[in-house]
Amino acid sequence: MDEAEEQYNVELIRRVAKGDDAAFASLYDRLSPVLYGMALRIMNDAGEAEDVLQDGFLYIWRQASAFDPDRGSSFAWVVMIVRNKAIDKLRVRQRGERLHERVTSFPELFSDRDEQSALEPVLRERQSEVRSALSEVSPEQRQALELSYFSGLTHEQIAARLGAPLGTVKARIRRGLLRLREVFRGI
Amino acid sequence: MIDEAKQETAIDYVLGELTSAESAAFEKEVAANQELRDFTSELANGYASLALTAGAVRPRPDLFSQILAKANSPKRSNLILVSFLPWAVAACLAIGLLVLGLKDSRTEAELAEFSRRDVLAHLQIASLQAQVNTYAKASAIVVWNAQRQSGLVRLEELPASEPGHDYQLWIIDPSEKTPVSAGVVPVGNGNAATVEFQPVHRVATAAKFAVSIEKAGGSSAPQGQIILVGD
Repeated sequence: MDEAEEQYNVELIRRVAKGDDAAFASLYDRLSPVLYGMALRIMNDAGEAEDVLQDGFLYIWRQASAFDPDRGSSFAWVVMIVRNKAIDKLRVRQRGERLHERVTSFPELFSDRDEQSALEPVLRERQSEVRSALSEVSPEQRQALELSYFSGLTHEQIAARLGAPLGTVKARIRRGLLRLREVFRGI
Repeated sequence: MIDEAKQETAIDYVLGELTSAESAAFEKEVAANQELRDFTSELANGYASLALTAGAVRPRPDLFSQILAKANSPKRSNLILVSFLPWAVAACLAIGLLVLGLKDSRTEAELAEFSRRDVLAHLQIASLQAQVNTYAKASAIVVWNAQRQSGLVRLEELPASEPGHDYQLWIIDPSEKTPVSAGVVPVGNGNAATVEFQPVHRVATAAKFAVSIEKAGGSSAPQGQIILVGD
């Protein structure tokens, strides 16, 4: 995401912190398609994904003043709020079940449900960069990284799910994350 | 140059694999080290960008208006507290007996007498309400005895804590920079718990109480999500 885009988002969050409804709406319009898509992927349920999106944006509304641009990008801040809400909800839902049994397959790397028109151009570009970066890492690294991100499984559970040693799984996730980091260096 | 061990720590931090204490220590390092801050921020950006691989989907059009209405609505009304009050009074009496060490040693008549006098005046009752929708049904009553520096907390409708995590009770004392830990509150499959607690050090004024989700065993300062707050 370029500097101007980041500055714009930071300004929106600052205005949200002051209770600016219009800024809140603008932030929602820009990011909700990505966030809702992510929530759908994690929850696999439209109603629960909507709850997650609602919880996430209410948190953003109430905690916008806590955002510190020196500690990370606005995109990462917003995404991780909603992602953590989804993982929390997923774990609550799965309490009493064996968590790792839910992820019975991991069929596709990328969703084919993209609504291209839903994405801001700058996010479309970034999406392309992420996909390109992931296409360069091994399938095992991709799988471990995505399980870490979308499934709510611990590293131990991912290792059990994949039938791989814990150290191997951690190494795969770390290498994949370092590759992603290279894509976004300097952002 | 960030050495490999520090890179590993940064990765674990971004992945949420550090304990609360480790996270707090790492955040201090990050605050004092621009290079490490940039490295960690780039990792976080990369990790967050995985969201884009899920595919973009517009939520239904009227969802935002619902969110905005909730955002602009006043926090939980006093009606909830009022509806809770009878239970709170009963809880005060029952729990207060335990706090005061009077259970099985005093008659109801004596309790009534204490009530008329000033024993119960030392008790502070707080009704804690959910701060996040995920725990909307959850609630807690805290009975705090400032003289004895101890209390009891009753949690209701709270799911059992996740493996590796605990619910932790905090006392907000305006004279303290950070909330004072009152210990973890184990919640099992019964979705409720009653636990006697003591803060880690003397509390001058218990202005509010809060419950957060922390790493197993608790944290020295709140690191996780605050789910219940009240006074």
